Amino acid sequence: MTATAPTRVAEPAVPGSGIRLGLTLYSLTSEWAAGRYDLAGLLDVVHSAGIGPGVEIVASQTIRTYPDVTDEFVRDWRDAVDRHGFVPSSFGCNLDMGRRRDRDMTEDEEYEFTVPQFRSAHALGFPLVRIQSAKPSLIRRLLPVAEELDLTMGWELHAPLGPNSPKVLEIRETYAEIDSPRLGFVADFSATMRAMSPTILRKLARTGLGADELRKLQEIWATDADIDARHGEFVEYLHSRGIAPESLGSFARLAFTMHGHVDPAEWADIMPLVKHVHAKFYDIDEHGDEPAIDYPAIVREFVRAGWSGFFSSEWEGHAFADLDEADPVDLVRKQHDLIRRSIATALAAPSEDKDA
Amino acid sequence: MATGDTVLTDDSLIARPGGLGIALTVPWYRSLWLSSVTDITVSVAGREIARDDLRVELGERTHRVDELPDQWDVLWFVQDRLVVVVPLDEPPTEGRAVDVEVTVDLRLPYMQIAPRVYVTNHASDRRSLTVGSTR
Repeated sequence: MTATAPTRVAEPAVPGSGIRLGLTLYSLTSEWAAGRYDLAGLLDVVHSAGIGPGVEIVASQTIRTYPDVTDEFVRDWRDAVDRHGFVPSSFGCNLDMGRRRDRDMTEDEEYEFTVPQFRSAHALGFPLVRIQSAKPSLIRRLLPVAEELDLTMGWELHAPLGPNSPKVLEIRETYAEIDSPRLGFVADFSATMRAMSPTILRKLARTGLGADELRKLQEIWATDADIDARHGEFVEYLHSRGIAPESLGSFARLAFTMHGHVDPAEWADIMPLVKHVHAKFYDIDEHGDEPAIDYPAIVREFVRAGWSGFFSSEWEGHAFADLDEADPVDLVRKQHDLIRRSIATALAAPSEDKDA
Repeated sequence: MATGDTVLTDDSLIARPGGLGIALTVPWYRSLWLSSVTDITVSVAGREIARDDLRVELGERTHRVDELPDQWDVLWFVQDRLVVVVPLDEPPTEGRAVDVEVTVDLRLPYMQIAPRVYVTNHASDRRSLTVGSTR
């Protein structure tokens, strides 16, 4: 193992549970892309809001020299992390297999593109890398690198998939064959939503959909057909109403791909494999609840399982809302309150029957 | 960000000798290789500019739109602006308002659907903006 600074330990969100809080800087995508902050400034904002201790990045968003890091970047990052008492939680890798236009990456290139990201993650003090391909041959090749760098690899399980989707079952099988504690999932709560987010519905209303169309969209969304079938049904419906689907841009499709409605109880099926959580959310209402994601129900599964790790707050409202339409920092703070409240409630009812 | 309507910002227009510079924001949440930009179209005052006449600047580099597919090792960092330079017979002076429309098409290199087929994003933004001096 390469020499590294001692890992700081994050306190649990609520004593008695292993859940730790933090955020992904992706929550502040709009402010970052607008150039409002440099990295030090962004981390200052997060710290002054009292958010932490976990900090996650998407490498391709945060690092100018992606997939590599410079010594200067590493020094500045470590200084800021130490100054604020942050704990690096997850380093989001990407696999840019379509980087060249004339052909896809070869498997050697996929490996060669990923290794520097693992090295960057290690240099910055991250214990975990979010990965986007769980191709068995690639995983097997990367595992020794992860071992050398003391990294856990988490394949991101995101809407429209759930813990028991066929593709995920295949990955679980690969993991079972390889049988390494360094392999698992990053669980993204977009998989287990109870409703479509008001944020995307507002966006679609602005593109011209009326109350009837929005009602129909939500009806179709709630069915169990696969996303292509549901999206197709909605497109057909739009045609029948004389609405060109193109007038909605990519949002009609995103409504299905970014919002899944698998039962939160399914997280229990893969709990030992969940290495990190993207605590996805879009909004917090006047009661302090997430209108589209049932945090108390989801948190209950994690508390019952005695799960330990980071809930990394991922506010994705910026995909549908304009800059300054919402304050991501304030929303993350409110979401942390919701998560703490949900943990406390779940801890207070430990003997409750699982199926009650 | 809303994945599209921030291609242009209030300070996008830059006075240039012989034309106009238009500074663009990546219409996605992360940095992308320049090869991910599949097309750029620009209209100024309602008139579409021929693609061959556009020049795309990123830092010290300048490319034609049809050279972008080969730039697979040049990263358009999400905080950097891509400046599209448009030649105009009567370049607008600083302080003037100009109606511009820009579309950027992306091919997202990490979101593969099938071999050599990737998720795309089509971002279009039209605004009347005031020409500034530098960038």
